Amino acid sequence: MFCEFRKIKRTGFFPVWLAGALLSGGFPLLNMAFRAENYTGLPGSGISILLKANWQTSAMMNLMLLILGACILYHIEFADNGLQKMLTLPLRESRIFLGKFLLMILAWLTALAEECLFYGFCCVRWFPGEPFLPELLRGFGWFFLTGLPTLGFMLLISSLCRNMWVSLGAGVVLVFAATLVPETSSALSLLPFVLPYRLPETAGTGDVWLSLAAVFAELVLCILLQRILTLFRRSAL
Amino acid sequence: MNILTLISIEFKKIRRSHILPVLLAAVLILWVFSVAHADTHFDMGDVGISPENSFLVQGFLGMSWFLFPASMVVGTVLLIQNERSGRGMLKMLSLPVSTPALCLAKFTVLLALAAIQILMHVAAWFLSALVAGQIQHYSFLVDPLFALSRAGILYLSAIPMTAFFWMLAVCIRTPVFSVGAGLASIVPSVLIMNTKAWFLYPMCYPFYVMTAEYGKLASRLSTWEVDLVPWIPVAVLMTLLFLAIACFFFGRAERR
Repeated sequence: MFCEFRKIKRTGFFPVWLAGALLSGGFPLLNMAFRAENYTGLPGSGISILLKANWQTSAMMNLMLLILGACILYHIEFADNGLQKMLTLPLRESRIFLGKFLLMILAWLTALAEECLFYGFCCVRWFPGEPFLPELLRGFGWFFLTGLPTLGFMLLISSLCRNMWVSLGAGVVLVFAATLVPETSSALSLLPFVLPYRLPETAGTGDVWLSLAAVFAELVLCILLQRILTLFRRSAL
Repeated sequence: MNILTLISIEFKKIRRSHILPVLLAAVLILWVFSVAHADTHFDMGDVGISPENSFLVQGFLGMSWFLFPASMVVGTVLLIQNERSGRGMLKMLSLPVSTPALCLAKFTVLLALAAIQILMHVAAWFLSALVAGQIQHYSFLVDPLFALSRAGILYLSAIPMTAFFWMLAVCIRTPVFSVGAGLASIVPSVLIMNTKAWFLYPMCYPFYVMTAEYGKLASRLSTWEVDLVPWIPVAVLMTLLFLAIACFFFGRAERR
């Protein structure tokens, strides 16, 4: 994990995450600054109005960040045959994957925390006097968990593709496909890349637990797949 | 070496890159969903568009808003990483070839990839219109020449955007930043499209033009007329500027 941390120091990974989260969090701010009158009169709590109005765009930016992060983490390994050198070390290949996974989770948390501040600020500024903190934290906790399977699968894709443009292209296609899935289809909504677009309110309480179970299952599947696929890939390197 | 030889060499370089399957997959996913939801085109009464026109134009809107620009970003990554891996750029610089010509040859390849993807898009539209017609028992086909001309408009309007992405890829050496800047510049195009200064933002041209086409086809939806006068000169100037900057910076870091 610390080794991974040092490797990405000069790739611009963290600045991009921070800048991306700034854009993604700045979107509701700009939206409210220009068109606040469209939203302040709506029924419901401030945070749910904000999320309904802006989360689709924020989620898309977040997904792009996830794709980009996953691509770069494995691009640095493939670029100068770094992975082959890593394999000569007394280190298991799944450990490399898990190290990168933890790093991505850390970056994901940082980005979400930054966006959370923006949403919180919007709430204080345009919906004063409302207790928003519990709902905000619950919302972002949900976004964090639902983003995890996407993160895992994207990292898996980029660990399998030698060329960065293939994994980037696959990610972009999947993000686009996810925008086409209709909100009414509940089974497809549980898939990675689709789930991060969904809000906790759009599902009932039962569905939230179902979604979280799906998140857990997808994560387990992702890690298992990674174990199996690295066995096959080793001969190809 | 003249520019034609250079372009043919660039095509040879990307032969084993698997970029065409990626572009094709993008187009196929778009149309598979469109066929699956073909029945939604029947209740478009409130905008006054016929189902077959709606089927065509929704596909083109989906393409021009995100998929096509993002595919071009992926294309720039392909072209530039090809040279940067294995010190290809240094080897290129040792040849008796002018670097601006090399840069323009690569840009031509990018434009060709764009053209290939749009042609794939039209072909996929034709096939999926046939399939959707079989499923819904309604002919979704319109005149193929009409679809091709819309595709041509989409392609032409995307050239300044492509030049911008190419400039980003050449000038920003860290791949995360160039890709991130490219993808991030796509998202606000929806907002900028609705302002008066839309013609200053090349990333929204394709979507702007396609939305205008939608407005023409739908009788009860008023969008906007595309004003050619400030747009075309500004677009040409910006494209030339982007290409000049790209040619200036191409291979500059390796030459030091």
